[in-house]
Amino acid sequence: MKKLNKYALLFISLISVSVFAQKSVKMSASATEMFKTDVFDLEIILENFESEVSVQYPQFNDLTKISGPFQSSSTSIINGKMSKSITLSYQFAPKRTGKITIEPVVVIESGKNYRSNEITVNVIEQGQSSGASDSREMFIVAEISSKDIYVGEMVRLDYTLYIKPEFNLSLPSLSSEPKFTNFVKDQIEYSQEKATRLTQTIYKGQKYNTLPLRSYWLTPTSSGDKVIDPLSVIVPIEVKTKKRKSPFGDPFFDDDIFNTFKNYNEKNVLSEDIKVKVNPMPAEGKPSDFNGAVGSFNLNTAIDNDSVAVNDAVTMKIIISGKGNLNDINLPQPVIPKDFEVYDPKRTVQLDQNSKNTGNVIFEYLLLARTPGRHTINKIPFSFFDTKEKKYKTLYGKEYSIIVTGSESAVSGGQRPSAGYSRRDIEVLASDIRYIKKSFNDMYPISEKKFQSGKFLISFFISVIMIISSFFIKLYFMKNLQNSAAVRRKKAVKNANKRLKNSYKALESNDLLKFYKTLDEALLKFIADKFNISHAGIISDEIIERLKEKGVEDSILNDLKDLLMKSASIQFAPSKPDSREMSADIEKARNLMSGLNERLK
Amino acid sequence: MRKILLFIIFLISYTLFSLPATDFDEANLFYEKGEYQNAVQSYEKIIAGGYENGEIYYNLGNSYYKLGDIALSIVNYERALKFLPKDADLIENLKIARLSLVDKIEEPTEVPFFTLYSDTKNSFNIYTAQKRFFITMIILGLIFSIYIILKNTAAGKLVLLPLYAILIIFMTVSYIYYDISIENSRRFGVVASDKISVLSSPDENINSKELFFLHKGTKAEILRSNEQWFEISLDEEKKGWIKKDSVIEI
Repeated sequence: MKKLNKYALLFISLISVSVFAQKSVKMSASATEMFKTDVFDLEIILENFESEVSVQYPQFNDLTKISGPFQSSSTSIINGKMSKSITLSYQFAPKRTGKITIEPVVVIESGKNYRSNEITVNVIEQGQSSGASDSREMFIVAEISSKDIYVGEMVRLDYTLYIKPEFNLSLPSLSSEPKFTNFVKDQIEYSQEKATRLTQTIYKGQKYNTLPLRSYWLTPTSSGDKVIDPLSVIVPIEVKTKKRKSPFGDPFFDDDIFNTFKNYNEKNVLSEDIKVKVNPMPAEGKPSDFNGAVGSFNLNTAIDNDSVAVNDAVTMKIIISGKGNLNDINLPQPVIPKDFEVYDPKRTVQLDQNSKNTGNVIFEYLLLARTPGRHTINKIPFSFFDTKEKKYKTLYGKEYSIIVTGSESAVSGGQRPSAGYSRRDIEVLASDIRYIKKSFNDMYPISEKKFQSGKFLISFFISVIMIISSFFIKLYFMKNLQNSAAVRRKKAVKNANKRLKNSYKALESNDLLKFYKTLDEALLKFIADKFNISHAGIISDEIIERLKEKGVEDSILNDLKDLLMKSASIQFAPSKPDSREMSADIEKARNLMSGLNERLK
Repeated sequence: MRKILLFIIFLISYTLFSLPATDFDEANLFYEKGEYQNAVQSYEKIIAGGYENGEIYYNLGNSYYKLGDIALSIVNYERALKFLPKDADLIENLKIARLSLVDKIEEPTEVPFFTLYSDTKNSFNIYTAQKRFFITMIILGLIFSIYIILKNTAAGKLVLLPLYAILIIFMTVSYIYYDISIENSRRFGVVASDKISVLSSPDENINSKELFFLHKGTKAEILRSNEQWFEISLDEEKKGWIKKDSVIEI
């Protein structure tokens, strides 16, 4: 039950919101400049209030109330919204000259205060003029917000038609519009009411009705003294025809009601030329990232999240607010770490309703975190030319540190919405030559670049001398050493004969012991030479075996065996020498040696 | 005995090529600090002192490039190329330096069949080729002597294989040395003026016609020269005479 009540309340409140639009109090005067003798209308409009409200009216001390208040009310329903307004009209006459301020009206409804705007009227003594009085009946005043501007600085230009109050006119039509060379123009649209309503004003001591003709925002594109061509309009003026004699001769018919066809005389009105001095942007102190922003701005940056998971997005907002050529502002590409994937920014321009040069520009960057870790986004700079201080300024945003959680594997794994989507080629930022070499292997004397005949001769002779000397080395030093085995074999007989000479000597001196010793030695050394082995420690049995392998006949081997045995036994047990036997033995040894020499070739 | 002799020869040949390394480091320091003008002077001083190698010419080319003198940087890169024919940094930098050239001239492409030979050749320069030629000659003599001594023995057969090997090496090295000296005797120049006209004869009279224009940084072969003129050739068809002072010889 309680719940139901709640819903019912909500429902009712929704209805009430939809039924009544915003409540407001407005105050307006028919003229803001007037002579002391004039009378003006003041309207107080209460919008969307109930009829029973308490209204605190201001004290109209400096004004004399001539009539009022007259109350009128209207109700309209547009798109289901009901709007209701109550208008209170007064007529006042000023009591004094000078500026008279009418305090705001306050409406109190259910404890809430609604205040209206306040109105200031300027009252001038008639005949008192601020300059030479203008004798023209109608003219166009061109007002420009500044005549000394910089390239890119926006200025507002208003053309207003001034016309003496005694003329009645129909809506003027534009016959020629200025060309605005060297400017980018942006026309300001008027509301229906403003474009058609005459406003009374006092210009140079005289009363005029004014009508706004055209308004522009102008942005100069080049520097120098520029002239804006005049604007011309065709104004249809009602001709005050001399009172025609009425066809009936009755003054009754002279009334306006019967004069339905008015005569209009078209008049061409021209405005003056406007001279504007457009200064170039100073080259001095121009920041490198300057992008043509002119005016005075503030920079704000914001991120929506400073801790995200891999593959999640961070939105970074860069808001530039202030006064200037907001429509032309473009941010240079911000430096964002490569750990983020950056998409092209969304750019929104929000301008104030009535002035096109104040408001803000919002750049929204979407950053997709790709690698985990702590990443820092540096301060984002924004440079502009300050027209007030006449110098360049650079603003910086905040520095952000974004923590990206998760693991790299999530990047390459299946979590990714589309594989390979975020991988890109390595961006080449700039190209430069490679770095210098810090070390070297060799340094060459330039003098040796040519063919070095001296060095050539030296190395040539070195090799030639080596080759020649190798022949001599072979001939004189190396031969014996290298070929000792063959030489020994060759010289075995020769050496054996030399040794046998000792045996002959012993035979002559009849020395039995010495004879057999030398004979034994000669035989053994001969065989050792033949086999190229040492004769020391040679054993007769071993020799016999070796000779057998070489294919020596048994008769020779037996003779050799007998002789060796005989000489050995005589050396251990000497007997009486017998010269005939000794000479037979030496002959036997010689025969054995020659026989072995033949068989052991 | 022979070993000691050889060692002495090596020692002499290496001490002769003494290294002015400190000047090189000093010049590099200027380059690191961005004082390219000083770096250029220091590198040029080493070369004027009678020494050269690929690294000096490469660094000098870099310094000239940083100073914005493309012609001189190309000249020095080309000089370095004779020492470091396969150096990737050098080839890249030469490519970058050539980007700003006006004249488009086709570089000869390498024939794939000869890459083994050219790879071998590229490890030589005019100095090392000569040195290696002498050294292989001595080694050949040495091994041949050893063979003579051991000819009739069993060890003699073992020496035969190194003998054949050194013979082939010696022949290769001598051919490479010959090839490199022929290559070095070819003269090339780089255009140093922004734009020069190539004339049909070595004088500026009326009988000499303007044949074509060359722009800064273009490399051309120098065929002949007299006191004031070079005869240059870009290919078989484009030949002509230009003044010596508008060309820097590589």
